[in-house]
Amino acid sequence: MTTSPMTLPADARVAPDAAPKRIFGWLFAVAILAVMGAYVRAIYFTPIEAQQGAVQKIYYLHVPAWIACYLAYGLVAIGSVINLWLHDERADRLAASAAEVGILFNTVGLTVGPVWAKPIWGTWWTWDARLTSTLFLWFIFAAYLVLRGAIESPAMRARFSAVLAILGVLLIPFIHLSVYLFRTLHPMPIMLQPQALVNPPLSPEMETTFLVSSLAFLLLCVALVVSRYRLATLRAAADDAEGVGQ
Amino acid sequence: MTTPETTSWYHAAYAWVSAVYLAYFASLAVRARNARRRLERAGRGARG
Repeated sequence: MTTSPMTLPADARVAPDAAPKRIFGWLFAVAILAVMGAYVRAIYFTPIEAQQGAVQKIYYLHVPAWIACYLAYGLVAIGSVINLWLHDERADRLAASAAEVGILFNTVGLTVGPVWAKPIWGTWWTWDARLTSTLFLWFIFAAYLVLRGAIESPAMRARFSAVLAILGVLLIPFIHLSVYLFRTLHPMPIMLQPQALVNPPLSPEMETTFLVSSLAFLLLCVALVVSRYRLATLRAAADDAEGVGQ
Repeated sequence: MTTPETTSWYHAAYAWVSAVYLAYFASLAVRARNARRRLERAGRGARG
């Protein structure tokens, strides 16, 4: 079957019978339990850092949130590339779902950072390369969601938003390297670097908490993308049943 | 160097992150309920 890039294939539509019954599944429940477990471990079973004091425990939220954010935006890029290549509506749905979840973790990372910065740096925010570029990333994906809401044609919406998403994801390597390329108030990574494997910068308890928290946030990210994808499928089924866009 | 009294800062951060997640879960649940209602209404309309 040949398909024009401006129209969706008929088999991409969602029959009402195929609409998911529930959007939250067992993976979501496991992810919630994992995040709660990570909280308990970070708060009650992880030692207080000697120099920064208790506020250093924000580390177990801040860095895992960014890792989850990058995973979500990576899924947006994968969905966008597949959509541009195959014009598959499911890939577009995956990209849109992961973008919303990415914005969630991006918001968490951007807002808990200043709560840590204020007592340690003495300021909530500084316009250095790392902080400014992460804020810019948030705006790009906020624009992505706005763009999706502004275009009525599903095929055109999928194509334009895929291009914006791919360009936005290209910013992520720059964000990671920004602390090496520029003088920034934001410190260099302590765990996300090869040297951490040879010479661990954290105590074993802190390292375990960081790993547990990172895995919990990654699990939550995947569970939320799955739930959001089911919601998108449900909405597509409702649109088809109402005859929207036909 | 003395350890700064920063416990309340990290409590605030954990509470804030939990609130953000809960708000998002609620938003997903509400949007799913609305979509399901639309689907049911359309199904009833199609049946007559």
